[in-house]
Amino acid sequence: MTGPRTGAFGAFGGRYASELLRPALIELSDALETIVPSSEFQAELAHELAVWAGRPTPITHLPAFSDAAGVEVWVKREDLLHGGAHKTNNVVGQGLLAKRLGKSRLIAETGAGQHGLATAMIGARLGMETLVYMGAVDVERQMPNVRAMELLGATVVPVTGGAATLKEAINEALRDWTASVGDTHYLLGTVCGPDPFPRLVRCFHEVIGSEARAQILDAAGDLPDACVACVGGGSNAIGLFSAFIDDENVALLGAEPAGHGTETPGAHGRTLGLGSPGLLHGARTYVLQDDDGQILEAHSVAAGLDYPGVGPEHAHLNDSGRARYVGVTDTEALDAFERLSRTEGIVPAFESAHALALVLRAVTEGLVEPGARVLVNLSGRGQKDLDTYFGLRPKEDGA
Amino acid sequence: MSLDLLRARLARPEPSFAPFFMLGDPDPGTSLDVCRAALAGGADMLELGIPFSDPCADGPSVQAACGRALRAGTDVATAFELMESLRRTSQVPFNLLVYGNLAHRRGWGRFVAEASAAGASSILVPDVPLEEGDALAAACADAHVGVVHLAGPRTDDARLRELGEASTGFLYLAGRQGITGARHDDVPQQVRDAVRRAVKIQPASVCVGFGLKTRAHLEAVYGAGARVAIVGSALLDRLATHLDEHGCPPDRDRLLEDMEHWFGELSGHRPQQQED
Ligand SMILES: Cc1ncc(COP(=O)(O)O)c(C=O)c1O
Repeated sequence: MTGPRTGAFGAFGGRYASELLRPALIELSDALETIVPSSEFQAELAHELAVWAGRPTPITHLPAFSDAAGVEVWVKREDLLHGGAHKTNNVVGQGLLAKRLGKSRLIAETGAGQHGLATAMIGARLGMETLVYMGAVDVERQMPNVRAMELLGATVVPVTGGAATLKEAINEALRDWTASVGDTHYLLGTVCGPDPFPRLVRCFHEVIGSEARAQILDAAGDLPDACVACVGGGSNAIGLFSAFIDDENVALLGAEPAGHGTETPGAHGRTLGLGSPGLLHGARTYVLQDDDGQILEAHSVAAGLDYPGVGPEHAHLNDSGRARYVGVTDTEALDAFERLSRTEGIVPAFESAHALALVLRAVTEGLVEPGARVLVNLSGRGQKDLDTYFGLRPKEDGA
Repeated sequence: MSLDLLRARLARPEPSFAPFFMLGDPDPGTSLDVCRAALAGGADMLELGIPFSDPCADGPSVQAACGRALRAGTDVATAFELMESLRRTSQVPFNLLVYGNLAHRRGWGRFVAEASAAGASSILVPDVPLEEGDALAAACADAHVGVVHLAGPRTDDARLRELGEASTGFLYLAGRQGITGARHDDVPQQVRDAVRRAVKIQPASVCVGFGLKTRAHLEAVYGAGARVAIVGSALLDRLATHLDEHGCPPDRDRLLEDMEHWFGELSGHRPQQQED
């Protein structure tokens, strides 16, 4: 099929949003083309990323993890970014932009709470009222982030209904924004949504890939053979992939949540692997849906991956064959979470642990050659997940 | 053909009252009875929604209605069957409201053909804007179904004209910026001004929805030039007062009686007709 008219990635993307949102989307799209590229804005952004958020983040070679995986593993340390995840890149960019557009209020959705936390941080920094929609189930399982958001002065609104996770939080944020567009910016946290969000969010995460590319060339003397990232909506993955898409010899691998297993609908979030094209949250993209087009519930132990849609650019990279998306179960992710913690002294977010788990299987599955150089986006740190982890795998007596 | 019913209706001198229902809410059988009560009470048109899992443009009342209908097993085929049953005994226009994914999933051509066969006069897809609506427009032209576009208070004149020209059914003007939901106060001056502006600068008949609740609200928008006024959330809220915690109506007769009475008031038929 021919692509959407606005904001197309091949046959995906577009601006499938209510007419009532159109003026705001046009305003934002214009801002992306005029304000964002201006040297003044770029200088302000770079400064804030450096002095407030802590960029650049390093890359780290992982010797023990490499041995286990049979490949040479490097991780991009977005876990070291202020706030503890890559999400901060996007909120600094959109926060500064919202300020320029004269908005006084920020709203956001959040799954893992990382994006909500990051939005609360920038809201506090910029003196903007901040309200975060979060599925009631996620409020329960990511309590440390909820507390932090409240400390930062944000209001956290638990969203019930449906699976009470990320999808419902986005629904509610869109509803708020439809009524509040005048003074409010919807600070969407991933590369989903109606155009221009997939382009806008990508643009603020490209810094991950551009830094990592220069760093690995410097440290290893060559490009990686593969880049690996977890995919919820797909923002950390696009951030890393963006610098390597034109390097045909660099494989791009996305880890999708296979949850409890992919036999049962509702037990996983393998949108690209098992979904089909549909319209969700403003874009034409892959979605998990039934024969009628009702959206199905997703599941992942990682709240940030628990979403039945995916960014439209990933849908395009999937269909064009440029990137491959592979399922990783909850159990595999937890095993990788333990391994990284014990052998490298880094506690990854459950989300990032999906990418690490994929690396452990990459050789056996023929995704990379033995000994290949693999660059993984360590999108966030795992402190937020400790309660869930110890709930699932209680410490043995006497251990 | 049903689009002709709409055209004939809009050509009449008096404006039309159109209640909105979610097909299958609270269950398919009751839904049919409630729609029939509306027709008996004097509804001039019906706006009928197909329940969707993620109604992002809707407030709590319509969300709840979607949830009830889906839990009662209303799939798209059931929704079309309900509409077809209504069409068998009614000649009022039906405007179908559907979220894009349900139509996209079936394919625009098949979806619109099925809607037309079930008696839809026109279709509104709130999350498919003009720019992405070519397939919908083509399917509607083929099936002789009207296209309805949504506009709002922030829609500028040029866009309003563009939307009106593309609306082969009518133009749906959201009375306020935001999602659907009932309100209690009067229809504000801005809404009346927005209706007047829309009537003046674009060719399609103007329908007003979002936030209307009383006969006085309807008269206010009719007075500003609206040809159709839709009452949605307020009706769904009233319906919900007759349901138990499982979404079932313990006293169906009372529910239908109450609804029919209220439709009579809203349509303007009840008090006037009784006094005549
Ligand atoms: C640490 C971390 N990684 C990944 C994700 C998934 O989002 P995305 O796919 O947009 O990178 C999240 C989302 O909350 C997250 O917190």
